[in-house]
Amino acid sequence: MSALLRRLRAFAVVPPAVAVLAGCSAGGPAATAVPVPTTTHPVVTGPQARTVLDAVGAAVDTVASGSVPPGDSPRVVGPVRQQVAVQLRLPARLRTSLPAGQQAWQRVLVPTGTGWPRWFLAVGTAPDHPTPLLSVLSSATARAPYGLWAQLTMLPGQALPAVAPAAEGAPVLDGRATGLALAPADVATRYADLLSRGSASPATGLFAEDLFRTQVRRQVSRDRSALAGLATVRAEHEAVPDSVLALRTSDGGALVVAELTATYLLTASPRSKELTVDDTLAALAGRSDFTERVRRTSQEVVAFAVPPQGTGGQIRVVAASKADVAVTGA
Amino acid sequence: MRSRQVIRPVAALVVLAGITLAGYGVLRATVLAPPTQTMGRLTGVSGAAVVDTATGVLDLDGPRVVVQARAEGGAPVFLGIGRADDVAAYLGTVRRAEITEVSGQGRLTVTRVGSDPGLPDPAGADVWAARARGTGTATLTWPDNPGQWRLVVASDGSHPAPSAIDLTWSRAPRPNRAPVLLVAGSVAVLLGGAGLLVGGRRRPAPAHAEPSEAAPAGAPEAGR
Repeated sequence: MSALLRRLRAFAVVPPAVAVLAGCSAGGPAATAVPVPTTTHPVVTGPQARTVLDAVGAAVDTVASGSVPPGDSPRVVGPVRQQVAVQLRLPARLRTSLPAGQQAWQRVLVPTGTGWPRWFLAVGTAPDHPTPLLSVLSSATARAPYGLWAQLTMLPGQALPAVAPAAEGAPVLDGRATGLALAPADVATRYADLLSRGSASPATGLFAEDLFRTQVRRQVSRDRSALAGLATVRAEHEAVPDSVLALRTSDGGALVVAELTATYLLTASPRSKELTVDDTLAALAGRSDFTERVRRTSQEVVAFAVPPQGTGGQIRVVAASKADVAVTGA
Repeated sequence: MRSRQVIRPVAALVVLAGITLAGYGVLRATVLAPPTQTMGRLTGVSGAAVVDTATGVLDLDGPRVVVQARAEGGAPVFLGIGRADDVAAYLGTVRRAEITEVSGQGRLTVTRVGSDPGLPDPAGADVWAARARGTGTATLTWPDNPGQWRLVVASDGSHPAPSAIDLTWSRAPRPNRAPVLLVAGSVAVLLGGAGLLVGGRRRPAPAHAEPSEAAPAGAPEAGR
């Protein structure tokens, strides 16, 4: 009996889902394979992730150079696609929010899963970026390649929580997952409220102090002081529905990434004759002077380390990004 | 006397068995050595935009499989291997030739499945854990990673699938019994030979033995 036949017979009795028929006919072995059930696995293997990251990095560089319109590249998706499109409308000297393409990759965080859409995270360093970048890669369907969905800057002093090795994959959590200090979907809405209302938000104690929130709130305070009597300043942040990505961390907590929309509204007071915005906002709006109001819309993507329920720990913001995507007014 | 009569034929049998064992060992080490590779070939795939393998085909006969595909006219060749369910999602209901069997004659048997006309360039997808591209021909070596995997053979979305595909499985080397057979056979031959020597040696006549009545005339009489 041939070695193939022996192996196939062993096959037929070990995994019941694999039914293999084997027989010896004149001239050699014969074998038939029958499908086995689907099992959960990491959404990408290590070599696969490196191939994807290289392809995405090259495509992002091409798009950021203006060679290919962002809308024509399947490697630039989600918030990043809109951000790049807006940046490329600006004069070159004002393009400060273009994503980095090729990077020195340090770490890949891979969820498990079998369906689509699917995503994974990668941490890398790039020239001109003092801290590492956290890239979110997303694929909408099996035939759609992974594209850069968001690129966040790691906040100084912050580190991503430990997750299962990429070869094993970390479990994906949905927005209502339990066992956490806060469900992932609630993390996004509560943090948006905290950004909007500052210390008046009931979510204050849930989140540790972070540089991103400090900068956002400080900017609002400065503008309110500078425009006192001339204009009112209103800043609102909202979680984008169904934008939350979450995976289980090794300590039983979660790493959550969520997209927020920030709306910054300046309303001129009756005694104000004119509101003048800076060069970047003027380039986005197509004008620099407004008499009634200015509405600035930004995309924010924030990554949180959420502790397990009952540990008493606060939620940490570990990475964030913000980019203006529209300025309108009258 | 009786034991000598038994030893000789037994020793002869042992020698014969030893020669047989050693001879079989030589054959096992040469012409009867177990093959380390199995090849399946598919030729003349006509009209299919894609050829794929059913789950389980890639690891049918060894931890390593080499895929080689050739296209007519120097057309682009794409080879991709992905997780079985990822490939199933990628292929969907596309019309294709699916390799399901290796026949006894080393031919890859296909089943026609699906109804959708074709696929865009498979190199644009990211479901491949390993991939290779070439012009006219491409080769991909797959080391049987844990899990269930499937192969997709195609062109660039604008040409039909390559017309000839070879799958060559390489088995991990297994212990060959030839040395054991040779040693056992040699030992048996030595033992049998020794038995023949012992059984065939004449016992010297004892000094006090009486002549037999049947002793021929003129024979010296003992004890005189």
